[in-house]
Amino acid sequence: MTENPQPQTPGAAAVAGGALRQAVVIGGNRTPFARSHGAYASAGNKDLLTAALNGLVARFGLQGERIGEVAAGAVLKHSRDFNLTRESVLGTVLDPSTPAREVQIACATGMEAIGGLANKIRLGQLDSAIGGGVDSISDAPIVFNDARSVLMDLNRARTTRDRIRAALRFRPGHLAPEAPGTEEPRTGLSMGEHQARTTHRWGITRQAQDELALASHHNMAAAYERGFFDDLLTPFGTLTRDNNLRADTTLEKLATLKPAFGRDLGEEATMTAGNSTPLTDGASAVLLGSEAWAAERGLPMLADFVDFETAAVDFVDGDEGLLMAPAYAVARLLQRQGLALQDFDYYEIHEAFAGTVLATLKAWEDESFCRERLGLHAPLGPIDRSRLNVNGSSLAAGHPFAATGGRITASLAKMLHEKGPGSLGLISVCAAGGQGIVAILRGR
Amino acid sequence: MPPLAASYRAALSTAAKDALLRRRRPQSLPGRTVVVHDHVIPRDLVASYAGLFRGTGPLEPADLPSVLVHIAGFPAAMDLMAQPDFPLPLPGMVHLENRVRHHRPVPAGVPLQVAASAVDLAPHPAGTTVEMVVTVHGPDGGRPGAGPVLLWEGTSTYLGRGVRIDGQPRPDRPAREEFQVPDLTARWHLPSSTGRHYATVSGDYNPIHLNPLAARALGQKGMIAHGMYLAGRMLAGREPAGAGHAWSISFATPVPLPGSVSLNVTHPGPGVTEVTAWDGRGRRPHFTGRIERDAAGYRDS
Repeated sequence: MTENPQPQTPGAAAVAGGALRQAVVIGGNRTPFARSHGAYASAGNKDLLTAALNGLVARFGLQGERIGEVAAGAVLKHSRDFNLTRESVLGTVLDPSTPAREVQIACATGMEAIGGLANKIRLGQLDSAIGGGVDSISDAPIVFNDARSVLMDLNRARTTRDRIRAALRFRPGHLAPEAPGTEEPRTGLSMGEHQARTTHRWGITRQAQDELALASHHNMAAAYERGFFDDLLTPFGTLTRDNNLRADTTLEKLATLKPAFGRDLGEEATMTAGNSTPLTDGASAVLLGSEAWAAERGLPMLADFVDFETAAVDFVDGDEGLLMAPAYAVARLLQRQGLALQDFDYYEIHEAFAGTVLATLKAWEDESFCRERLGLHAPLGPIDRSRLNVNGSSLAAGHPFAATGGRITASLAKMLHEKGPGSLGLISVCAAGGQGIVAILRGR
Repeated sequence: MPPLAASYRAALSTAAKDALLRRRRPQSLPGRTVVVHDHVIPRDLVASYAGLFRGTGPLEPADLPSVLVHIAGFPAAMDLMAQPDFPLPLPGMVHLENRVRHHRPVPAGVPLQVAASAVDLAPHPAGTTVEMVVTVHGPDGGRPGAGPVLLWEGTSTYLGRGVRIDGQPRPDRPAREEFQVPDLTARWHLPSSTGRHYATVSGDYNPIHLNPLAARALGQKGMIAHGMYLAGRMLAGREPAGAGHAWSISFATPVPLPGSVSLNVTHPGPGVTEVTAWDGRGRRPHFTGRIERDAAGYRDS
C-alpha cells in the first residue's frame, strides 16, 4: 500500500501543508508618551489606541483596507472596554470588517500581541496584522469592591424587604476606592519594591543605574534630534515628543534624587525616581504582513519577526526576582535559534528600572546563575554595551505598560533595516506576575 | 459545640467573682477532656473564611485549610478554659504559639469528633503557660470497624500573665537576642477592619481585636491582629492539597491594627517554608512560622 501524497496547491499556507513564510515588520506608529495625570489626563485608553491606529493607517495608506487581524490590549482597563481593540478599530478608517481581539500579559502585552500575529502570518492564516497596546494610568478604573457587593445584592433582591435589607448593609466605608496599582497581589510589594530586592541582591550600584538612565535620556534626545522618530510617532493632544524625556539631565542632577524604592535598605537603597520609569499614558501599533502582502502594496519591509519566547519565575517567596523572567526566556530562545548572546547588533532591554536591565545583564555574565538557574554549561556572557538601547528606552520615553512592546518592535525594526539585511536584534520585556517575553528580529 | 459567647461570659463572671471573693484559682489542670461528637463544620463557614484571604483561590470543602479547622475546634478548648476549675484566668491570656499536624483532609458537612484537653502547666518568666490540645477525628474512611481516624491535631500555647503555681520556681528571662532584619519578600497591609472581619468569620469576638478603646481597656496599646488570622494568612496558598503537612507559628509581639507587616519567606529545604514577620521599621519581630509539606519528617520543636 502506498501513502497518499499530501495534495499541495502552489503557495498553500503552512497550516494547509505549505511552507512556513516570513512575517515582516512593515512599520509602526505610536502616540508620544505622557507622564500620567498630565498631558493625557482626559484621554482614555480607547482614544489613545484609536489615535495610534489611525496614525498607522495614514502612514501606510490603509484607509478602507481590511486587515487580517488587529490584536492589542491594555493592562489597566475598564470592564466596559471588554472589546477595547475592536471598538478602537471601529473608530478608525480601516474597513469595519477588520477583526480585532484583546491580549493581556501585563507589561509584555504588546510583545505577545505582535508575536502571536507574526506566528499566524508565518502559518499562512493571516496576510496582514496590526499588533500593539495602550495604557492610561490617568484613566485607570477605580473599584469600590465593598459597595459593589451591596449593589449586586440589591440588584439580586426580589422583594421590597430584601431590597431594604440589602440597602441597610451599605456603610460609608464601602466608598473607599481600590485603585489598581503596580502591587503584586501575592506579596503586597510594588514592582519597584520587588526590583529594589533584586537590584540589591545583584549588587547593582546607584552610579551604574544613574549612568544607564542618563544614557537613555541622551540617546533618545539624540534620536529625536536626528529625526529617527519622525516616521514612528504621530503627535497627540499637545505633545509631539515624550514628555518624560529630559535631554538636559546630568549625572549630578540624578545623584541628588532620594531613594524611592527599597528605603528599608537604608544606605544601600539605590533606586530613585530618576532611574525608575514613571507611570505613563500612551499607545503604540505595529503593522505586520507577509512578504507578498507588503510587496503588492509597495510597503517597506524593515525586519523579519524571527521568534519569541515567554518565561515565568517563582517570585512569590523570593526564590527569584519578580522581573528576572526575561533572563530565562533569552537562554531558551538562544538555544532554540542556535545563537549566542553576542550575535546581536542591537539589544532592546526594556528599562522598567535601570536595576532590571543591569541585574539581567549581570545574571547573564554570572557563572553560577547560568549553570544553576538557566541550566547552561557556561555563562551567556557580556554584551557590547554600545549596542544596548541605542535610541533610548523606557527610562526616557516612559512606560505605558501594554504600549512598550509596540514602541520597541517598531524602533528596533527600523534600526535593523538601517543596519542592513541579516542584522539581528534582541528584545527583552519583563512583566508583572514574574513573567517576561523576549523576541528576535532580523533586518532586511 | 459550646458557644464561644457563653464561654466568654462564664470566664468574665468567674474572673469577677474571683476578684470579689478573693478566690485563689486552682493550682492544677482539670483532668477533663471536652469531647464534641458529630460536630459538622458548616459549608457557609468555608465561604466566609475564603473571604478573609481573597486572591489565593477557591477553597475545597472536602479539604479545609488548617486554620479553619482550628476555628471549628476552638470553642471546645474555650469551654475548658472558661470554667472556674481552670488554673489560668481567660481574660488577658496571651497566645504564644501554635503547632499543628494536619494528617488528612478535614471535610465540611461531615460529622466529626472534636476533643479538647489541657496539658503541661509550666512556669514561664512572665507567668504560667498551658498547652491546649485539640484533636479532630473523622469517619473511618469506609473501613467498617476501623474507628474514627485522626485528621488534625493542634496544640496552642497560652500564657497567663503574672500567674504563679505553688512550688514552681520562676525561670529566668532568656537574654533578648538582637533582631536581625532579614530580606523583605512580602508585605501585608492590614486595615483596621482586619480584627472585626476575622471575628465575624471565627465567631471569636475578643474585644482586643475589635475596637481600639476596648483593647486599651484590656491592657493593649491599641487594637491588635488575631494570631490565628496571621497564621491563616501565612498558610493561605501554601498548604498542600490532600493535607499531610505540619506547621507552627510562634508569636513574639502583637501586630497593631491598622498596620503593615514585613515578611521574609524562604524555602530552606524541599517542601519547607519558613516565615519571619516584623514591623516595618525593623525593630521587633512579630512572629516566626514554619510549614512542612510532608509531616512525616516534622520536627516538633
